[in-house]
Amino acid sequence: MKRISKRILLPLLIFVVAACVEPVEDDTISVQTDWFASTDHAALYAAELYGYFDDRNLKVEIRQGGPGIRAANDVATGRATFGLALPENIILAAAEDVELLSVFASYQESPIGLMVHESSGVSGIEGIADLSVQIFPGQVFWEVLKHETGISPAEIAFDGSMTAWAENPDWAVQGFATTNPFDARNAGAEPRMLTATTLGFRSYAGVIFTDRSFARNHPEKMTAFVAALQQGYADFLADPHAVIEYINRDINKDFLIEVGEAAAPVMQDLAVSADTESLGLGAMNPDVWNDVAARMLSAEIIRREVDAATLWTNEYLPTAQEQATQ
Amino acid sequence: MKRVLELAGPPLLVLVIILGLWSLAVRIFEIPAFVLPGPERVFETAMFESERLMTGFRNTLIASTIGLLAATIVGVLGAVILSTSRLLERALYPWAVVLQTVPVVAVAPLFVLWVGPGLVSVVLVAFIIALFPILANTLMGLVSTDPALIDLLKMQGAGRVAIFRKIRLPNSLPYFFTGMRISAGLAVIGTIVGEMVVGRGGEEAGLGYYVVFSATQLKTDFVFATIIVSTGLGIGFFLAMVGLSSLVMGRWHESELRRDS
Amino acid sequence: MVADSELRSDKVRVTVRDLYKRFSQEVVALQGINLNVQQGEFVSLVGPSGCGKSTLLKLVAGLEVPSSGDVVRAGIDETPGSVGFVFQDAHLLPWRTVRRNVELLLEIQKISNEERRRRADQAIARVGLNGFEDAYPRQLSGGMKMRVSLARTLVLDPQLFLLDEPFGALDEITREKLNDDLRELTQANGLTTLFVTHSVTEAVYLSNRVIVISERPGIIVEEISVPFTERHRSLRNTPEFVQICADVTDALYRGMGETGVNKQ
Repeated sequence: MKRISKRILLPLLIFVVAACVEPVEDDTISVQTDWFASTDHAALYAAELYGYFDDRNLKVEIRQGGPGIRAANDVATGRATFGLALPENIILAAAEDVELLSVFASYQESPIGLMVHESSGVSGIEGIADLSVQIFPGQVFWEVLKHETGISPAEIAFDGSMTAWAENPDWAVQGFATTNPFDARNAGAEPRMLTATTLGFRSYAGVIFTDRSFARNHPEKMTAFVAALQQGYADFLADPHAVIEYINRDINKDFLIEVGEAAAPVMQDLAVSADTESLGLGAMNPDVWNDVAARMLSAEIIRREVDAATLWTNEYLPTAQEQATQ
Repeated sequence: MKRVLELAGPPLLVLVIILGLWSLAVRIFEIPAFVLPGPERVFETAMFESERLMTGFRNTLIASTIGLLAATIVGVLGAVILSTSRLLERALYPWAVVLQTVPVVAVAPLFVLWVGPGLVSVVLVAFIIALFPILANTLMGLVSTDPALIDLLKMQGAGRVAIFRKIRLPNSLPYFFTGMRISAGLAVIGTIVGEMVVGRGGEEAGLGYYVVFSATQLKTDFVFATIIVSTGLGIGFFLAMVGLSSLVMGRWHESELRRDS
Repeated sequence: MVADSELRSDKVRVTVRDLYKRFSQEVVALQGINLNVQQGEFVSLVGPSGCGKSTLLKLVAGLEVPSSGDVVRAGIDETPGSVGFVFQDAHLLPWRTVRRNVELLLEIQKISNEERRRRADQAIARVGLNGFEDAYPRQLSGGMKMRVSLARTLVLDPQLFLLDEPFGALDEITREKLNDDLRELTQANGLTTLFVTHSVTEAVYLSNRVIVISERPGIIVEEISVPFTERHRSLRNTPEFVQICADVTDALYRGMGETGVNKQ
């Protein structure tokens, strides 16, 4: 008995150890998003669904985020090749000497903001002063607005759930204009969404970025990746349904189809701008980046100046590539 | 004064060595600040964020104190009640254990729904986490009384109340303080956990709030600073219990005797 | 001849009649015990471990209840303090000073604080611990703690004094000293005393009468009178003393089912 079990044990042990050690696949690109899968990540999932990554010989692994996940950290430490987050996160990382490069902005205007109850009658930042605000501690757009307007309403820690807000008509809660109003109505509340832009802070969202040295070392992959994103995103905006269904069925069944259907028109609105008209989906503008960086500096959210120009580029967009070859 | 040096010297020396090694390691291995900031950087950040840290410290101190106080009162009263009857003990003690094992972090958002966010919810979290050691240890002390002593008093006609006052209660003191030593630190931890999940921001922000705040803003050095202040607060609470224990039991309990070094 | 105490003819008497004590189906501690203790007598109970002598003492104390038979305590007013009990270990309250420990049982009675303190200090002096009133138990030696335990009981001025192997944990010298002190304390006041011990020499040294109990289930094997009127250290070496001890030891062996040394 002892002899037999030794012969089984050793291979078993090797097998277990081998299984635990993650296989080193050099060419897989991992993308770490900032929340559970939703239409906010449509560009990625559309490209995956329609095979646009495969077409370009890219092996892409999309990882869902969640509470406590910080995509910028994961890219900075090498745990992920790409990340999806807000420009504010990229700037914060830059202030810590982490060199990230953003290459695609899903949202030309961030859908992030504060959701209030219709009954509160609040329509702008001044009205927020009278409410209790439930928000992730440290959320940049909020810290900037507070600093600039001087308001200091009561704040409550936010864990991602709408339930408490639904019970309290004098609360405002952090949310995304795309998905949360639907959740709110489902909870029986009548929401009014005030995006950060409405409140006075314009920035991007769904920004896809990577480590600067990776970009430098793999220019072809960068071009291919961004092209796939743009292609997928365009298909999604033209006809959202298939991607929504894909996300719900195969990726995150907690993301309801109705929520996606409600989000789609908002996205169609927020995904385009003058920049995308001329340069294609995902294009970015220096004014937005510089403005956000400057405001973060004066609000003392970053302690030293950051040159925002080094944090993003349009150069991997197909249009830029075309211009380059001309 | 010499005694203070005797007590505080060795751990402080260890601290200095740790700080030195830490600082060296960060430099030698060129560890980026957002992964592991060196002690100088953490100190610098602490100075920069001193206002926030002081607000956090103050609020967490208040909430921890209230939470610990509540846990002490309920814990001691509960222990006294449970000590009077084996039936009661068998009926209710398991529920105290349940309270101990319920994942408070998961339940905390419910508090927000029931009593609203902020101090009450945070104190509630701290209370739940800190309650059990006090209850369990004090109860143990109350029922672990020398039966010979009880016989002695019974023989002289002493009633249950007199036996309780003269024997059971003082006998339970060392056990009680054991519980307090554990719960003091737990009250601080519980408060911070509560603040992370159901706390308020702004002027009422506690250290837990700033842990999340600093993490959201990817500021590892601020996270460290907050954690260090939190640890300091926990240590302070613990030492307060040690001091209290020494004050009350110093003259008569073996635990307070100085060991030969 | 009986010891030198004044016999206040049957003033205090403990009578045990046909006493049975069982703890369960299998465990019968005592079987058919008949015993008489007169006023002023010092009676020792000796026997092997587990023979029930401590149980018998507790039955006399009223801490246990007989399964059948009875314990009659005549001449003892059943007020608190009339029966004093001393345990094997001192069982002092560590959080109280010596004085406060001695005062403990007095607190249950309704006397003033000054009176209580006075009596306590008196008892402390009687056991030879004056100067240590404010010491804490952890500062005392084993012998000193036992003295405090004695003082605690003596302060009640009991009419019946019951001691359960009080000196067992002490060293030889301390034990002999305490034997003398105890003898002096009980004889000075004609205190009726029932004393349980393992030690044959101790029993013979202290008592007017030694009662030997058999192994479980305990019965009385023999009652042996101790004729000596005076006590002094060298008494233990005299042939008369040694003989009495041998008699007691013999009875002990018989109680354990073995042949005696002196008898068949």
